[in-house]
Amino acid sequence: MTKKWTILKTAIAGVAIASFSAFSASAEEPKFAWYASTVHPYFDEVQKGVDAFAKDTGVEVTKRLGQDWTQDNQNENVAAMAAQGFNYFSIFPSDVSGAKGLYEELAERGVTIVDFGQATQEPTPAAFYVGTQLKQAAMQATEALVKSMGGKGNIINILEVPGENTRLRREGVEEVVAKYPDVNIIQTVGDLSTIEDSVEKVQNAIAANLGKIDGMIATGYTPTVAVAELLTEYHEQGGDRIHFFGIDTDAVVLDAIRAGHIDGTLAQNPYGHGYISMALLKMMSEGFKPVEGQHAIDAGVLTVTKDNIDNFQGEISDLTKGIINSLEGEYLTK
Amino acid sequence: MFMKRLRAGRIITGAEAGILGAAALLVVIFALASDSFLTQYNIFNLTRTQSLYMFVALSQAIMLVTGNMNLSVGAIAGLTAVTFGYTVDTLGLPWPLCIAIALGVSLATGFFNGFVMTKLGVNSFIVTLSTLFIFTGIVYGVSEGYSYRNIPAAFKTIGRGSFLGLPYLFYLMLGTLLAVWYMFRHTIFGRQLLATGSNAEAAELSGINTHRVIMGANFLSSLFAGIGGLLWVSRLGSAQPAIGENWLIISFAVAIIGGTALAGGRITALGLFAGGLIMVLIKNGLILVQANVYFEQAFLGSIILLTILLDRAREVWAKRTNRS
Amino acid sequence: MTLELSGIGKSFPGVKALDGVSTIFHPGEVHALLGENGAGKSTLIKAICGIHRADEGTIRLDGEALNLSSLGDGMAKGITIVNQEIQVFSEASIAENIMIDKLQLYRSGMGLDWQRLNRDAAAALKRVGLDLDPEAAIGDLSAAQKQLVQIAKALSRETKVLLLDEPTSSITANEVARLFALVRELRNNGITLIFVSHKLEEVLEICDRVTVLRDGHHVGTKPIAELDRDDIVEMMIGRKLRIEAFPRLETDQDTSALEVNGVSAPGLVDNASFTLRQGEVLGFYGLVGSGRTELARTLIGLYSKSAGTVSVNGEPVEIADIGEAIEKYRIGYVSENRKEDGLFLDFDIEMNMTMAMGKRLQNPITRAIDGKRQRRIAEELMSALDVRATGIEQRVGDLSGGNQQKISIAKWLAADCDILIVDEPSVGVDVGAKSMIHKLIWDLASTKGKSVIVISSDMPEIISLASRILVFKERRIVGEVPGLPEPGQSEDSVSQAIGRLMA
Repeated sequence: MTKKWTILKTAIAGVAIASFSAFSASAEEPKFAWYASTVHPYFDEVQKGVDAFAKDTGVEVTKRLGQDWTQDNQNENVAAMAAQGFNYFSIFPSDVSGAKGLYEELAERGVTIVDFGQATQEPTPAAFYVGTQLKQAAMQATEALVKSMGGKGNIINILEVPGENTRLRREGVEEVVAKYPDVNIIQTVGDLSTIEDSVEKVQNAIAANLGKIDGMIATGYTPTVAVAELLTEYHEQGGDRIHFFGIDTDAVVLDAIRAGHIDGTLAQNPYGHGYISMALLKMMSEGFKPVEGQHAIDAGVLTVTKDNIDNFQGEISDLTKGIINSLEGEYLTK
Repeated sequence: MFMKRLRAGRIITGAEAGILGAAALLVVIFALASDSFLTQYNIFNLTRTQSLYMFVALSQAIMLVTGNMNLSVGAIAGLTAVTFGYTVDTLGLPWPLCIAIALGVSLATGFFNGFVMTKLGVNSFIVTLSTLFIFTGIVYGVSEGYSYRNIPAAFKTIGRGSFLGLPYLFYLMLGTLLAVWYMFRHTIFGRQLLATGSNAEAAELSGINTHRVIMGANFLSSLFAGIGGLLWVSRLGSAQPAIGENWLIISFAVAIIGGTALAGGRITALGLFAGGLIMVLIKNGLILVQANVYFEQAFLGSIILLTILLDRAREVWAKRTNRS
Repeated sequence: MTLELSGIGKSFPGVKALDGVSTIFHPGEVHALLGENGAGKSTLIKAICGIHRADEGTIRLDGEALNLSSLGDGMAKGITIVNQEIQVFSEASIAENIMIDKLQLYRSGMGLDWQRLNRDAAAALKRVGLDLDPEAAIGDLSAAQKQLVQIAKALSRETKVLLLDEPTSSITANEVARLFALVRELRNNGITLIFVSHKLEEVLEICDRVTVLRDGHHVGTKPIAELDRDDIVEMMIGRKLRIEAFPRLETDQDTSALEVNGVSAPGLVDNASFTLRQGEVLGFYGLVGSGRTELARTLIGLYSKSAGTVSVNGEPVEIADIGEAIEKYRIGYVSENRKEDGLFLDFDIEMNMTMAMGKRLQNPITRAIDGKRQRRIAEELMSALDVRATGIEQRVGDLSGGNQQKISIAKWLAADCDILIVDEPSVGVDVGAKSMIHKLIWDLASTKGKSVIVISSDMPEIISLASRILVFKERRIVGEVPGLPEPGQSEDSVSQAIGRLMA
């Protein structure tokens, strides 16, 4: 059944692309599009960057959100947009390997693509990837956690659903921990896909190691929210101090930092993901070519703690500006 | 008198004894395998999660009893949670009123499901598959994926407080199960639910308005789902639109482990209690014994299957002894 | 081919269904297999075609001993059954239904040779006298056409022995004539035909030889020429005429429990009128689909009527649904399909008996089910109806057919019904239980003053039970015949009178 659907949808996408190419040969002027999987707070932040770019440059960007997180859905929607004549895309690939099929078809028709948020597996037709370097970010968060624990103690490593991204994050955490002989990972909890699941499993892990836990680290969005809620309750009810660093700046997480229940989180630069990816597309439409060997552009992450919680947004804007200024020369040439 | 009725199977039936036995066995195994198992913190959280599961399971079981199902239970929970969050946080209404509004919305979803099932005669699978998407869509349309964080502290104590070392939710679960037990054992409506699920034609020919019964089941199902959603909000401290996303499988698993017949006509409150307990025990135990995180689901599935096989074996054995 | 049975025996837990049955079925003959319900006919059929394996005895086909362990084995030997229930894949085409068991013959590369398949199916249809498009969906055909398609399916395979199990139970008189023409043709082609029916008129018309079973024993096998109707009945029931000695019920001509005037339901019943008197047993006789069950179900509000009036105890009423029929007007309906829509097989006796009581089971103050009263009612009915069970906690699905039937009647007694409609009271119950059920129904009318309608296609049953018999044909009541207790009547004269109305 599923397979049939996939075939059907691929066929539809193919027809759409073919019909687009029939009259796109004459359409030379660039049309810019931004596409994300479906409704999510992260995409809201990215859109702010895209909007700012449109305002700053006067370029018209058409933004679209899909209906769900599946690659099928993305294939249909993006193919339809390509058929409308869009030829410069900033895309969040729903499936980092599955999206390549779509990209390959688009690239054959001369469409230029930049990945944002997560990178399609290489080799990929995407010209650039703008986003967070997952492993580096995980390492940065772990360093911050170890520092908050005073360089020693036991930690629980909390992972999201198994996959390429989670593997990179896990490696990042483990590499940092390996540097500190007095820090140990006493338990790894995984496959946390929903908020309820995350709460239940982290709670079980706390119970399993009660009294022995000094810190926890989460490298995914959903588990971070769950742990922020959980530790708020845990510390309010008088539990021993457990240090924690997570990722992303969900309001729930920021609340917990302000109240002192968790130590900090890692702010990604979603604004930059939007702004930088659009800036790359615009420059390429003006004849710039990627510099050989350059593909991933780290939009940067910022450690957020109680100290900088009220002005970290400004620091992130500065990151974006720095990267925009370095695009010509470092990443693109004429 | 009590012992006689106990033995005659009128209080604990064989089916429940099997599941309760399996739950007890798991308790013993995990208590021996891990020192952390019988700690106050673990027991508190175990029973709290069990209580939450129970509302998830009840929302499905009540539909299964009538020979129908409800695939939209998680979406109803999410919608109830978001309604509560929206009214209490965005609109700033007093929280008891918000509870009433939220549960009103969940009952409305039950009415909608029931209306399409009975008046328009659409199969429950198809109806609730569609409404699963409809309700989820509304959840994200209203919340745009953001959570509501301004939840009154008084409301949070429902999901976080305890009495005699056990969470409030545990007592709420016990009370609810008692009510469910009473309904199926001592009320006409409970009996009509069972009859409709056991043989809908015979029920109709016995003068039971099966449409009304299925409508009632939908109301109860959505109510349990709504309460479950609200309790998750209270327990988390924020109204997350993602609440309910993982309910579907759990709702079937707990209900069926708990002895609810998939084909309808059978439910036991005590069995559901044991079913929920088994489910949390397995998940808890796997982490306590540091099972490999990547194989976790395989372990979970195997233990569920084993539990059910154990129960089947008991059934076959009981039939043999009955015959001889 | 000659099919020879010798000493066939088969036991089920607690019952000896067949005991030492020996007979010979000859090619080019239509051989009737007769017996009452529970006499062992269906067990014997199943043993012949391979569904059941006999415990004792041998089956020989042209001298070769058969050892069949499945229906497929039987088919491989050329033994085919056409079932009483017409089983088709209603979404599939006629051709697919005919060829479903021999698709391997039409394999062509990766798929099927549809052209050849449809051509052969068309030929098979022609053989049974049907001129239909083989690619049409079978679901739209009439019951008789489906029956003929089943035969076409059997014939399109090499068939030497063809069992027809109650082939006429759901088809009309014209269609029966057509079916019989086909049966005669097959006989002339040398096929061994085994014809199972309870309609003696048909047996007398079409069959060459008769084998009768009673209580699992072989009573005898005789050429039809040596027998008349009475002889066959005597062989089947073991005595000259089975007239249960129920005295005539004296009913007041003026009191009517139920009065029905010109009731119609589109496609189900046409303009039906009758009066059920207080304390009377009224019979509805007719074939399946003749409107008798349909009228009953319309009266209790299951089907909606398009015209006509109904009065209960002289008061005009509009019965909206079954709940109202039971609670307000005290009308109960014992369904003909006990297992499908009469009983809750998974529930215990107590719950089944009290299911139709509805709110009357509640304690008036607590609104809870009055458990004590429920137990008392169930226990009283258990002993009153002589239900054989381990106790009121026994699962109804584990009871015998006769006891199940008693429970379905008890349900309405518990609900305190004054008017009882009993549909096919003795289908699937054994001979002993049958007379107990008859006695029970008769007692309800004579001593409890209940007014009872008995729906049956079992002529002796209806003749002995009912004071008056309404005959149904093609959705209408075509006439009324006084029942047997009428002075100066014999069973023959009553059945002839019914037969005249049916013709």
